[in-house]
Amino acid sequence: MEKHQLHLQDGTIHGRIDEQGRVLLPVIVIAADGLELEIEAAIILQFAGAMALHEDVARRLGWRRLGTRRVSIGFQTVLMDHYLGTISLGGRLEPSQHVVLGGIKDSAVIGQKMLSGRSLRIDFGNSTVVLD
Amino acid sequence: MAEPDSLANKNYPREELDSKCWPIFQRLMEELGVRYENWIVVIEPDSGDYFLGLDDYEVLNRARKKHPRAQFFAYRLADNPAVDTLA
Repeated sequence: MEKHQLHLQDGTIHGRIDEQGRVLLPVIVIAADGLELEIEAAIILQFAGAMALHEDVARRLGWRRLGTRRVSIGFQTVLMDHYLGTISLGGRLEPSQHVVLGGIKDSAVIGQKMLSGRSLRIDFGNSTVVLD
Repeated sequence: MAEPDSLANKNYPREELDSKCWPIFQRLMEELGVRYENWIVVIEPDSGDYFLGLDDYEVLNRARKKHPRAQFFAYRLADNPAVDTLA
């Protein structure tokens, strides 16, 4: 399924399930120079934070690195940088600032903080993802 | 305590930032670990200033107000000091 099949209708955000079974939602990240970049972010429900990006993406956005933290990934603990980034979920919501981690292998993941107060419906049978 | 604001815009590599802040974290674990278990602590390495809270965004912003150009290491006041869990 192609990225253009992500739809935004009536305040709801429509994502997709990729061939690996990952649940993806469209996210707009706003670079330090104001440029808006639409990316697809995989939902990780165990992640209590807002968002994590590949290090290269975080650096290209020009966000200032605010330091580092320890992050558990499986049985490992790794060091990841933290940034304050401006993000809009699906481009439908007013952009807001969140702590974003840089240093994952995937391009982008989002966690509980980005989904807070919203309702996520996933239908694996019909391969639909809707965030109300 | 150092001056309220460090004007130097230091860019510590990850490991160096961790090694500078780790002894401060260990002291804080002894002093505050029981009372503030699982809270997040954000440490500014040069002054030794630390900021406690439950929300990383709020704590980092508070730290940044006092040290606008500094970098900070964040830990969780727990046996596992990782702040986040990813998968």
